[in-house]
Amino acid sequence: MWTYEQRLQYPVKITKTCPKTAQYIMSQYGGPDGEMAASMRYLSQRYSMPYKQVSGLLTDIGTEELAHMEIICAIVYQLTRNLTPEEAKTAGFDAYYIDHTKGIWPAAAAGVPFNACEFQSKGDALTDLAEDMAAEQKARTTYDNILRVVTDPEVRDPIKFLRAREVVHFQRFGEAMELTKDKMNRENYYYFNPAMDRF
Amino acid sequence: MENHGLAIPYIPMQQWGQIYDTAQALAEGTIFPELNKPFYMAPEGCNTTLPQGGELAAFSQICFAAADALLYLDTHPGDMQAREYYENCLKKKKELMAEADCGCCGAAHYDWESKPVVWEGGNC
Repeated sequence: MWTYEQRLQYPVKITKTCPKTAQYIMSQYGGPDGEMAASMRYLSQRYSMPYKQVSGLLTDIGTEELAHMEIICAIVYQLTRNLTPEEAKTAGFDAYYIDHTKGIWPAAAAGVPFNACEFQSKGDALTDLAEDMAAEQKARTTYDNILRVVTDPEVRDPIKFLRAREVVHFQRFGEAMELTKDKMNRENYYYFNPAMDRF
Repeated sequence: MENHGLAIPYIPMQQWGQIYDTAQALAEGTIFPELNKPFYMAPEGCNTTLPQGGELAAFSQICFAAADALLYLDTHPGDMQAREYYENCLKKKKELMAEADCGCCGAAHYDWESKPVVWEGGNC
């Protein structure tokens, strides 16, 4: 069960319209390493995670990712809310505009729509945690790539916040990997899959 | 921790230590100085600091500190210092909620008309 709090986890106040930047940032909504994929990944994986402490962590991080998805959508919305027909012709955003006007729709920067194939729920504790650690690094790289090209400090500020969260989540999934290893066969971590094989 | 086997990742468990004050924590994106690892590249001539600066709302600060401490506790449930910090955050959050009367704190959630939506900057 979830309840909604009427606030962003980190404030977004963007005053300058920029459809080009919106096209970059949108990728962290519906792109391959975006916040929606992150949230759906963790909230899907938790059911078969055999250790309650780890499924609890997946629940809490998966919930925080929903708040990050909202921050990303707020950035894209504020970058395009005052879009003029002339600005809509900006290279890169023009095709999106034709299909969605100023609507917020999950797609990657290159236009590929959101797809569940962008994440995995493998049903194996070690495999899923390794995927989660990789996911945090991939999102961190995307934020690095955004920070390398976006100049508006009003956009950079919330992006830096989101990037910092990826590093913290990476550490937590690493710790979850340690907690999982503690419960497994130290001579051979691959001897069985605790989500499938019962003794 | 004798978990240094081959063909398996190893990440050291974090120890509870120095904590940022809640204003700096929200600005940095973590309450933990040792997990604050920023990226330095920026486009040429880019002003990397926000011009207006501005204090982030006290309620957002305390909620964020609680959220970051919660993830630490998820992997360190027995850490008494972390528990004390987390419980303190929740206490302050409750106090702020009692003072405020807005949708984000639970009161008048149904009143969508009288304030801007969160994606328009309507933040507590």
